[in-house]
Amino acid sequence: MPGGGELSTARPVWIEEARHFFRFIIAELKPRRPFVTPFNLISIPVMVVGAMLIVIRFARGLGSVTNLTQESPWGFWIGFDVVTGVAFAGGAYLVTFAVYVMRTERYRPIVRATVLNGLLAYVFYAGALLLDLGRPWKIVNPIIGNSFGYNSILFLVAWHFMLYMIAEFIEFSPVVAEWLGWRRARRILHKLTLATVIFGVTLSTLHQSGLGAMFLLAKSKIHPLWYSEFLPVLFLVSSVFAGLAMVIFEGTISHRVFRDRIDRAHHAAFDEIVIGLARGAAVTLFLYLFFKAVVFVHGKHWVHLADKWGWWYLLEVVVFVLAPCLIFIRGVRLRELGLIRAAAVVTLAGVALNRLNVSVIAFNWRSANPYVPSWMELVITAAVIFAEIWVFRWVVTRMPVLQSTPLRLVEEDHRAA
Amino acid sequence: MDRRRFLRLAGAAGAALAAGSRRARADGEPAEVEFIGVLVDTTRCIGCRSCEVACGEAHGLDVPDVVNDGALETERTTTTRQRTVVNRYSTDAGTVFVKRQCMHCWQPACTAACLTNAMYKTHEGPVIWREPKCMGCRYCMVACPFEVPRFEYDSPVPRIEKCTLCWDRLERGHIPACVKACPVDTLMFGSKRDLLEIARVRIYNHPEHYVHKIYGEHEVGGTGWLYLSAAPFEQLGFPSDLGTTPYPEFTREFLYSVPVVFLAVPTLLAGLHRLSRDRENS
Amino acid sequence: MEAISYVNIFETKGLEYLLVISFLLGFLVLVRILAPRDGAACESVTTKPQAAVAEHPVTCVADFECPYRASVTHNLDDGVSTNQEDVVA
Repeated sequence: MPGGGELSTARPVWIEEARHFFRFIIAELKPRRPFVTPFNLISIPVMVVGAMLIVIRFARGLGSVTNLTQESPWGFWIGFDVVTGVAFAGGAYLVTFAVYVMRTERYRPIVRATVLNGLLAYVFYAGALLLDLGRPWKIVNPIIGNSFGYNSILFLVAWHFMLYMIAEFIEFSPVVAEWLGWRRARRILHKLTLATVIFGVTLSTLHQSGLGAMFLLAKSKIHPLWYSEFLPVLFLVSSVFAGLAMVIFEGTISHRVFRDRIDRAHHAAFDEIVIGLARGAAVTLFLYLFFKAVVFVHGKHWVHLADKWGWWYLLEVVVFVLAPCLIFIRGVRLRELGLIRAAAVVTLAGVALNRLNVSVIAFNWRSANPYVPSWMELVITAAVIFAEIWVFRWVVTRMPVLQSTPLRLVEEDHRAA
Repeated sequence: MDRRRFLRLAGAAGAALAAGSRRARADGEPAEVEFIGVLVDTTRCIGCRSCEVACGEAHGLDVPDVVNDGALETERTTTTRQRTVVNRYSTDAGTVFVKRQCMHCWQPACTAACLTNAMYKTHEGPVIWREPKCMGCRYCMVACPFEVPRFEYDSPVPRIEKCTLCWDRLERGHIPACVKACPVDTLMFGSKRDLLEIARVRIYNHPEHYVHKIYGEHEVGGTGWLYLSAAPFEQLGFPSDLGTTPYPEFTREFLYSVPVVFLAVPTLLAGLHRLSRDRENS
Repeated sequence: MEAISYVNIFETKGLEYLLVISFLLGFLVLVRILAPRDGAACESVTTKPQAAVAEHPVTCVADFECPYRASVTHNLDDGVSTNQEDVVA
């Protein structure tokens, strides 16, 4: 048995500590919930097939698993995994801004889960980006300094992704420290939180808008209804309601699945949180609509409404932006969570649709061979998402993410802050 | 002056200018840069495709069988195995042959896009791809308005393939392989300034023979390859809606705003944090 | 010769200003619509941790409290002093 009784001259304390730590981690890897669930039954085969496809991709080149062409060099992996996925992860910078900068205590119960989701999203989607690169091992080039392409917005986006992941990890690390019982580390990390949050929000405003700015260079290729010099602003604003909608969506699911991990205080507060998030989503959707209107008028796009692209644009704006805005408003006024959840789902679909339009569908829209993702691209994407959910589940069932921080530590933080 | 003498002079002039532009001016101002380029007079091209053959041979790529492959029947684009192609068009002015390849823009979109500086505009003008730096992100392909860079999707170590204006030959003092191979003087190599002069003189002297436009003079801020034609350029597969703004301009404002944001936003957020102190104590 | 394009900005500016004004008015209306009705639901979670505990006792899952240390059977409260650092802005 570990403890004082086994101390002998042959075994230094640090070896005992290391062995104990190792055994602890192994124990933590064992599943805590029943293994045979619908989610597991679906996700495991997908992840296995996905892993095999990834091996093929590296052995035989991108063309062996994707439908990418010379005219459509960016496809579903960039358009969805990266460009949409990062927008979905926007909840992290918004909620940390509310809780740590503006000190809105109402959202404190969800801040840890949201930061965890943001961290995992960036890690897995940046990981998915590695799959899309032709020579992923060269990704160190723009990092180590021999190939700084300052003139490129992609350089900025790539660096921000990296820095933001580090910031997110620092923001989440107090949770890890609590889990491991490293009190001093926890105190130190907690003090770093405000500065890290400020840094993270700054980074986010730049890289969320930067994703839009990347497409400014594709002026001759993106359909006029989706191209505008205001793409950076539009992407920044849509990242706000995308992030809020995703927090509502994931929060709702987590609260059902991990019901037993959440204490009474959280459950009571959650409804108000959702309504507050819905308010934010309604306001930013409203703003976005007017942005789109101004861009439309400014670019004199009336003539473009006459063909099928015009209808597709109107569908995106009316069904996937205007409608959820109205449903959010109604849901907030009636305090109907069902309406709010529905609006959140439609909003997420709308953001995905818009970003896929800009990067893939309306990109090279004149082409005779429009790009359609292969089933292998979709399976790999699904495998990445499932892997992310597996990690989320593992963390949430072991670390204090959904629980309140014990009062003792909260008082410590307030005294030190 | 006969053709051969002129070509040699143009080549020498180009090389001399290239060497000269490396000297920085004494007053610290950026040196005026003279880029080299190629003038393509499509009214002279006979569609023999010797340029395609020479390009393939010079770079170890596919050498087309110009006699038997019937490639002129269809409109082709460059590929990962062919850096240049000649297409045949039926136009108002009859049959026209057009050689297409990288345009070597003065302010290229691909170099503005490339985050590793793999796509690189050399001091003399040609835009080259530097293999050790490339990570295969394909942003250059997204950006290029002429859809020039080609990517090896079927290789686990993929390359980007495009015309480099025979940069490796230029460094050894030769002219580009296609220019050397052309039997009828369609291609002329030299400094862009000289080539523009020659093109304008040709239009002035034979106004009924040419469309009064030099394609590449202003497109996307100017390109290294210039074209003369007897038929409107839209009928020859050239994009006509590119505008005259160099592509790097489109991202300049955003990139300039980055330092401002890094200064302003943290300050603003710290201020908001300070102001929100009262909510806690109320 | 290439056509010289003239961009008439006055055509669109009138409509754009109208859009801005309608946005500002609409925004005012929207904020009033969305505001909580009587403030009762707004601050159900109080801002002070002590008060929050008084109303909603925190009940943590049993093995959350430092599960790692618990497995080494250390006493959680031994030798830890609370910090009395001054609040620095």
